[in-house]
Parts: sequence; C-alpha cells; structure tokens
Amino acid sequence: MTVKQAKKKNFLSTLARDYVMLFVLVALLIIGGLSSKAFLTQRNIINLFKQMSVIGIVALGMSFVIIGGSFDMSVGSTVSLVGVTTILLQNQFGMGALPAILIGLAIGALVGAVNGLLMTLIHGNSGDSFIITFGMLTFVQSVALVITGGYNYPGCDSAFYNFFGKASIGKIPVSFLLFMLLAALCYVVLSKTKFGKRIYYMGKSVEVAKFSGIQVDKQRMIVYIVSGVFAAIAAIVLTGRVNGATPKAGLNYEFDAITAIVVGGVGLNGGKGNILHTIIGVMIMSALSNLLNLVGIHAEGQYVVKGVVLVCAVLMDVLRARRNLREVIQ
Amino acid sequence: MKTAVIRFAEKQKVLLILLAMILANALASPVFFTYSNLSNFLLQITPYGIVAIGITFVIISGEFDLSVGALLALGGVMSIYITDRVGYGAAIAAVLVSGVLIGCLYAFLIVKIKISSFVVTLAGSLFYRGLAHIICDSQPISSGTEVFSWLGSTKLLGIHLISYLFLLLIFAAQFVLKHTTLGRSMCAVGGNAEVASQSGIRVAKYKTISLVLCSTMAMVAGVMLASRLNRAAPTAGEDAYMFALSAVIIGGTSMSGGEGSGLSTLVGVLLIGLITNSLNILGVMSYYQLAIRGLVLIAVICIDRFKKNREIV
Repeated sequence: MTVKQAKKKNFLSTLARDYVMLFVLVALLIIGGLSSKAFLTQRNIINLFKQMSVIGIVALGMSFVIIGGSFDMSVGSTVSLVGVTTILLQNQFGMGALPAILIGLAIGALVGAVNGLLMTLIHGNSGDSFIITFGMLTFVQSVALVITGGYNYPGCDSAFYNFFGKASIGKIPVSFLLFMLLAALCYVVLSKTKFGKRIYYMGKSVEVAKFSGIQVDKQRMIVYIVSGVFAAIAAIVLTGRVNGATPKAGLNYEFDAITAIVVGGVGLNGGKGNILHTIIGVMIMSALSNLLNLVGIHAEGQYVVKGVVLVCAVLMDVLRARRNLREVIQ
Repeated sequence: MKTAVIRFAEKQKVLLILLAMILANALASPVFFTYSNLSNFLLQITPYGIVAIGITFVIISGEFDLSVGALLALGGVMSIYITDRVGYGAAIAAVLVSGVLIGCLYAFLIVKIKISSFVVTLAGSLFYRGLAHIICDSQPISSGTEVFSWLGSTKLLGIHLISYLFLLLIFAAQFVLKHTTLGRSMCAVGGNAEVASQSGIRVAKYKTISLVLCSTMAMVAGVMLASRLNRAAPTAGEDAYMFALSAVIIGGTSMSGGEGSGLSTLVGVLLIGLITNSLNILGVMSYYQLAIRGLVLIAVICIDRFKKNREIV
C-alpha cells in the first residue's frame, strides 16, 4: 500500500468514525426531500440557512463552554435580553445602531463574566455550572421582562442593524455568511491555537490542567464570555430577521444549542469534538425542525421529538466512548 | 453558657433565619398569625413542598432531576384528561404507574448507561412538557367530574387534606432517611458511590429508588395542584425546580449528596415559602420576584459550595 492509499484509507475511516452524523445529515436531507415537496426548494433552503444561523451562532459559543467541560444555560435568556435592549436603546432612547449593538455585545460579555466569576468563586464542577447558569437564566430573563414590562416591541429602522438578519448577498443570506465566518474563526481558535488546546485540556480534566500550569479560572472566564458574546450576536441577527424583539425570544435556545452540539458529536464530558461537529449538529437539528414544521408538527410537539433525539445522541456518545475504551485496553 | 448559645446559633443558623422570617412576616401583616392564614400558607407550599421531598431523595443519592416541573404539569394534565374519559381511580393509577415508569427509565439511562443525570432530565423535561402540551392541545383544561376536586378542596380541622399529606410525607422521609437501612444506604451511595459499592451496597438499586420516588412525587404534586384549582395547565410548575432545589439546599441537604433529612427540607420549604409570601405582602411585581428567585438559587448554591470547600481545606 502506498502512502497515498494509506492516507486515503485513514481519511475514510476517520470520516466513518468521527463524522457519522454527516451521513445522518445526508440521509435526513434525502428523507426530507422525499416526504415533502417543499423541503428541497430553493426558497426553503434559503429559509433554512436563515433559521440555522441564529441557533448556530449560539451553539458556536456554547461549544467553547462544553469543550471546556461546563455548561451555559443562560444563553437563551441572554438572547432575549440583548434583543430587547438593543431595540429599546434605539427606539426609546434614540441611540444609533452601532452603539446599541456594542452595548448589546457588552451585556452578553457581562453575563458571561458573571457566570465565570461565580464558577471561579465556588470552584464549581460541571454539575454546579448547570445550576449556577440556570440561576443566571432566571435572573437575566427577569431583567428582560422588567425592562419591557412583558411587552413585545417592533424592530428598528436602521439598515445597519437589520443588515445582519435581513440582508442577502446574491441569494445567500448575510446571517448565514456571518455564521460561517464565525464558525471558521472558532475552528481556527479551538483547533489551531494554544488557547484552544488549553480549553481541551481543561475540559478533559480540570485537575490535570491545573497541575500543568494552565490558569483554569482565567480560561473558564474567557469561555463563558465567548458564549455570552456569541449569544448577543445571535440576538442581533434574530431581532433583525424577525424585525422585532420579545422578552422571551430566546426561550429554550440553550436546550436547542446543547442538543445540536451533542447530536453533532461533541462529547458532553468536555475535551472532545470540534467546531465541524457543532456545524453538522446545527444543520441536522435545523433541517429536522424545518421538516417537522413542513409536515405540521409545531413548537411543543417538536420538543417531544427533540428530547428523544438528545437522549439518543448522548446514548451514542456514551457507547462510542465505551468502544474506544475497549479498543485502548485491547 | 455563652459558648453553648453560640454553638447552637452556628448549628441551627437556618432555623434562626426561619424564625426571623416568621417574625418579619408577622410584623408586616397583622393577619399572618391567624389560623386560616397559616392553613392557607401551608396549602400554598404543599405541591412544591412535595416536589422538594422527591428532590431531597435524589440529591441525597447523588443525582439531579431537572424535569420535576414538567412532570408536575404532566401529572396534572394526565389526571384531568383520564378522569373525564375513564374515571378517577384509573387516573390516579395511571399517574402513579407512569411516575414509576418514568423514574425507572431515568434510572436506566443514568445508572446503567451512565449518562449525566442533568442531561437526561433536561431532555426529559422538554419531552414531558411537550407531551403535556400535546395531551391538552396547549390549552388549560378543567375537570367536569366533581370527585376530582375533592382531594384538593376537602378540609379537616380547617387544614386541607393535601397539606396533611405533605406533612405526612415529610415525616415519612425523615423516618426513612434517619432510621432505616434504605435511607442510610441512600446517603452512603450519594456520599461516595465507590466506597458504598465496595461495602456491598447495591448502588444501582438505591439510586433507582430515589429517582422513582422523585418522579412519582412530582406527578402526584401535579395531581394535587390540579385538584386544588380544578384546572391543569401544560405550563404549570415552571418554577417548581427552582423552588424545590433552593428549599432543599437551604434546608441543609448537601449539593454533593450523602447528607440531608426530611425535617431539613421542611425548614427549607417553609423558608422559601415565607420569602415568596413576604414578597407578595410587599407587593413586589412578579418579574422582580423571578429575579429574586434566581438570585436566591445562586446564593444558596454558592453558600453550599463554600461550606464544602472549607471542609476540604
């Protein structure tokens, strides 16, 4: 066997082992195309691109946290809060689009920083991160409700603000391009830089990472801030797309993001997977929910399906980990 | 003498805070100490209190259940749906059986397959809430059968029947956890599963029992709430998890498992209930109450962790 052949075989087996979900995605697209005529039309695909961008950007940020070995449940309400704040700042206080967006991003970073700070204070593990960020979810949600009084607000007129959610270049929506751009950035940071390597080490074992001289607290602070800022970006895309802000716009987004990440093949225990997995997962979940919409299953019914999908994905992850362990032992 | 007082104060911090809260409530509202108001207060905390007892068992055995709110909603919706179509007995039986089955399914995934209980019950939470929405078509439903609201509206000596049931469950939990092999084994399993397993305790069995108890109690709490209001909404119990977890941990059950009792959960439930009560007396808007509840949860978890970290050092 020549080196070239060996490399090719290696590539295929990697593809089969690590990117099984790519085949699931293709299968889903085929099934979708067969079961609904509207599914593979150009219009629906563009729509699908728009839909996946918001949850995709949230999932990119969350990937940092999950690969680093924790969870961030507060992203959904961060999306809601940033959406309503940026709109209120423009419509009620006459602020320009750019400062409003910057304040929105700062709010996302602030929520992330508080999460990181609390986790640092209590030396929290992955379980603690669930509860702490769940508390933050509630708090941030209530802030969004308080400043809006519970009302929905129409969007703003700023072309710059709406550019990210509404505009298209040629046929391709800007939101999708932004998602891809951010994904490429995240891929490089996570897989090609020392900073990214440290996140993987931290996710594998906080103890070992500490002993190897990694500043775990600082590192965790950064991943939470990244997650918060990405949620803020997603909020701006979402608000522009639907041309309005509601105090519960991001409800359950944390669940959708976690599901997408796990379905794509990023392990929930941290230190595994990469951004490609997240992208595949986001595409699968968006295609699935788009398809369910087309066949007439809406919001609440979809959660029944998504709950099952999440459990199956985790099940697969656990079984895969066990098989790998067996291989190592043998 | 002085040291004894200080020692007592340090040990019973939560009890002292509880007394202070009671005093504050009594001062703020002259009707607080009337019999009917106290009975009413007890009624208010009953459903979530029962959820908290379930959570106590789960946390003591070292796991979590995020889905109690969804199960509460499912229990309520299911009981009314089945009562109106088949009958009351069938409804109660169905709720109990599905509570047990759901707990067993969780236990299978968490204990056997070894998936984190957070993830399993997070998925369960959305699944069962979705199910509740599907059963009643996303609309609150109420029962046309009179017998359904009997449980929630009957009083004995001015106190609601379901409140007695709550107190009974508290004392049962206290007895089981402190005086039976079952309870002590649960604590051992939660404290350190490895050691427990090596001392011959069947870890899987005790974790399963605690998960089953929790999901069943959450669904029963749903039936009680539905019966009291004669109305079940698929959105019920959205804050049940937060209430129950805050109450259980503030009462003194450790987040890391292995410690806790029925009475400490009673203290926690009373305390969180009183906080809600005083916020209502003060006329705090519900959105602000949500914020306060989130902050209380974060504070309670942080205090628990500080305590634990200090012990380790």
